[in-house]
Amino acid sequence: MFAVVPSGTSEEVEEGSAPRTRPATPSFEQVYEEHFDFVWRSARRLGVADEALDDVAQEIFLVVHRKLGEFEGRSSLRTWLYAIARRVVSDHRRSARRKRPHTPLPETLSSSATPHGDVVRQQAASILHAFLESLPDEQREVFVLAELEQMTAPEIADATSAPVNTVYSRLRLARQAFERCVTRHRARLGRES
Amino acid sequence: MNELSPEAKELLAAASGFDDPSADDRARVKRAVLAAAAAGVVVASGTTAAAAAGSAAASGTSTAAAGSAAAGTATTAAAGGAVVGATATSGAVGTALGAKVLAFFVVVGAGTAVVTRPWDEPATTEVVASADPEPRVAAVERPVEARVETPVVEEAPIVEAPIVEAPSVEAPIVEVMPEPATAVTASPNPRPGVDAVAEVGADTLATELALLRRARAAQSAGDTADALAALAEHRERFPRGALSAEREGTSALLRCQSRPDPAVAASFARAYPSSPLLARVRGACTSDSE
Repeated sequence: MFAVVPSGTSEEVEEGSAPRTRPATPSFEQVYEEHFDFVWRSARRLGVADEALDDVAQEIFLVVHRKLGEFEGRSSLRTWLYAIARRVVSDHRRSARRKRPHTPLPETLSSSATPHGDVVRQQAASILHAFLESLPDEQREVFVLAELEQMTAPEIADATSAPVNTVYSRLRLARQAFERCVTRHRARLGRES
Repeated sequence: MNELSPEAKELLAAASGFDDPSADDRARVKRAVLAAAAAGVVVASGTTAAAAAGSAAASGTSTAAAGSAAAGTATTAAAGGAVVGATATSGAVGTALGAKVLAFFVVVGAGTAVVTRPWDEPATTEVVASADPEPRVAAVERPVEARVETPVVEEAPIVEAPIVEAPSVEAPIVEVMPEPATAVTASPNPRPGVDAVAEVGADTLATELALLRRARAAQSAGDTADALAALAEHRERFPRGALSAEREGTSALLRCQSRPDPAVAASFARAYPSSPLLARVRGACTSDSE
């Protein structure tokens, strides 16, 4: 908070008074408001269980809070945030695995009052989550960032510290796996209806 | 790259939005982050002050010798701050809560003149008298070289701010050590930090934090009324502020300080069941009855 609000009010800020070429670092508030959803979604899609999401999101933004002043604009804010998020998520999952297995989303949902559209969405999300869970981690994140967050391959390469070609090949594999998943579910849904 | 088939895209589209947070999720996590980050600041400064006092005492510095000591101690203190700062925020997720609990203990301790450090330092309990991290005018006579190490004063990066917090180091050394009573006059009166911090971009959290600090400073000076007044002001201005739980926790601690009352703890527990302060409040409010 204090660190991230660019301020020239303090007379002791020596280098701060010099004009800077890079754009001003956004305030923590701005970053939070603009990107919280992205971070939250990403954590969820990277396999953080619902009951741990608060802690993980909090941890991620504490790191953001601490390091925002170091953000140099060399990458996009989103890739920078994602790089932080994946580290925190990775740590979390490592410790969560030791404690207990991941609880998958419920296949069917108990909601008498849920509109049809929500049911469809929840089923789709359920399929998607199960699919993501089945992917190797490195394909999973590339798939999430490319297909769900519409990041470009170079951005993903930046966010995941992988060469662009590797990103492409991971994405190709993940897409193939997803197509197979869709086919399987189509068959299943066809039988059900 | 091959594109996904229309059917696959359709499924992704159908699932869109499912993983989004609610407004409540967004607000709840934000409160928690800001509270933890704020606690981190105070932790760093509280420790800094404590470490400074410790070093000064250990080296037997007098007021006259404090010039060089201040510069020298800044580093030590900064290191202390760094350790705690790191503990407060970058621990594994699983331990985050514990870290926060620890963090707030020091927040509470920082204002109370007696800072205890339950972690790695030798078990010292230093009379710091004024652990308020805001740099004071009173520290004007501090040597120039000490200032050099303190480029940014108010903008203390929440956790990684040990160096930044260094100015607070000198004040206790120079002013406080010889005569704790001096510091008492320095700390409760001028609503420490409120104005100074508010300058930093009219930051709400900073103002909230300053009010809490004021409450703690007043409490440390034995001025319970002013402490409660500061908390009341916080309650009025920021009824749902990021530091509401800390405010109510501090308030509960204050009330139970004079007369332990389990009902106060119970009420706090109902309102803030996950507050890191809860254990402390329970401890204070149930007192010897358990």
